[in-house]
Amino acid sequence: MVEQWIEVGTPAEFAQGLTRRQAGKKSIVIGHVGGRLRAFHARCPHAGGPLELSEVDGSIVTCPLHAWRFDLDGEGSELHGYRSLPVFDTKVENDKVYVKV
Amino acid sequence: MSASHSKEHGDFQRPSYTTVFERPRTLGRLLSPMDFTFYTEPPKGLHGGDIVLHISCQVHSVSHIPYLAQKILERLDLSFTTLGGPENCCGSFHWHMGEDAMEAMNAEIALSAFQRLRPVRVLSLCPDCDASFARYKKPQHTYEHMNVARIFVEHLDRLKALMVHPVERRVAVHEHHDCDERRADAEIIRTLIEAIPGIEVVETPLCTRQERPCSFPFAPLAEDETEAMFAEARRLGVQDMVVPYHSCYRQHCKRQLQYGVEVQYYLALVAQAMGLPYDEPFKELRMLDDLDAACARVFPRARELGYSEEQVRFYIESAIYI
Repeated sequence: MVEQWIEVGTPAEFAQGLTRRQAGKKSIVIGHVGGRLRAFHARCPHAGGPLELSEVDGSIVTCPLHAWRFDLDGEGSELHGYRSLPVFDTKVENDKVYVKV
Repeated sequence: MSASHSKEHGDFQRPSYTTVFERPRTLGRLLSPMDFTFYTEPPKGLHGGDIVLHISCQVHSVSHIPYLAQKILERLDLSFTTLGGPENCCGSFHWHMGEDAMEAMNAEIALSAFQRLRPVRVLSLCPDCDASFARYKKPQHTYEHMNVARIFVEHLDRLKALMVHPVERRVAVHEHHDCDERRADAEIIRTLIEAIPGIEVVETPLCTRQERPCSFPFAPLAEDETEAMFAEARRLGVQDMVVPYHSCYRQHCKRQLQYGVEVQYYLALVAQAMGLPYDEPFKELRMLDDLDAACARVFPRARELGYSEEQVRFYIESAIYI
């Protein structure tokens, strides 16, 4: 499948916390993690936990259901060696946030 | 209902998901026997026998408890699969925190995971798990769910034949009578204890008939109630305080230092009578009564597994040195 940049909102919309959005056919979460605007799959690869409710500690995102922990600086790798979280590139242009999905 | 909802906890400080789940996950890995195994996610298509032993998630801080359950089931030649870890949480933590929707998600995920193994029965060790699953179990979950003690009472004749080593101890039986389910657990656990050769059960009114749960950290038994319970046990010459749940064990273990009354999980006495070997690292670390010494004992293994000493110290302090 060809990846494409999809506009998901303005930077101001993602200034606080984690926000769930639709980007094309993908449901994603956007927010500042590890000091950068990041985007990742909205559902935990373990059991579909709602990752917009994750705890964030540095670059680590922790699922609220069973605490699978994903390092977004490590391309979404799970810290216990479980399945990784799909992470998407982001960019800001002309006060718009784009996600590559 | 066996425990109070978060809205009744007053100024209780909410722990993070990371702490709640990572603490037992880490302590389980550091303190469990090498032959203690379980599935977090069983392979697709696995039919794990008639029984699923469910051992999520806080019980991993006191992993000799699920280990004993496994070893006794094995000795009874019962066919079972163990499913556990935070991955199979019942949702009770979320319920305690007032996050009812997430409790529902977790309970349904676990109940469905059990169903995929096509068991006849699912056994849980934890009263909070029993309560969460009871709230969400549906007709499509065709198995019977029950506290693990019931299976042992059902096989009491075989168990009695295996309990050939007298356990010469004077014991008090710590019971919870805060709801019908806990009263039923208490009754069958007492039946098990009374079946152990050599055991003398001493009637201790303050130990039994507790009208509140020992549900650490949400609603721990009040300090004065606990003191009275152990003072009574000591006065009556009790050697062991037998507890029904891992939460009671965690909270009360330290009282041995003050009262000389040892806290025993009930299956430990069954195991002793059967001659099953086991260690109690939680108790060993707590009886050191020295956090630094406890950490020093655990750190070599923590380093091997790549855990930070700071994190492990926090987990030992907050789970064992309570």
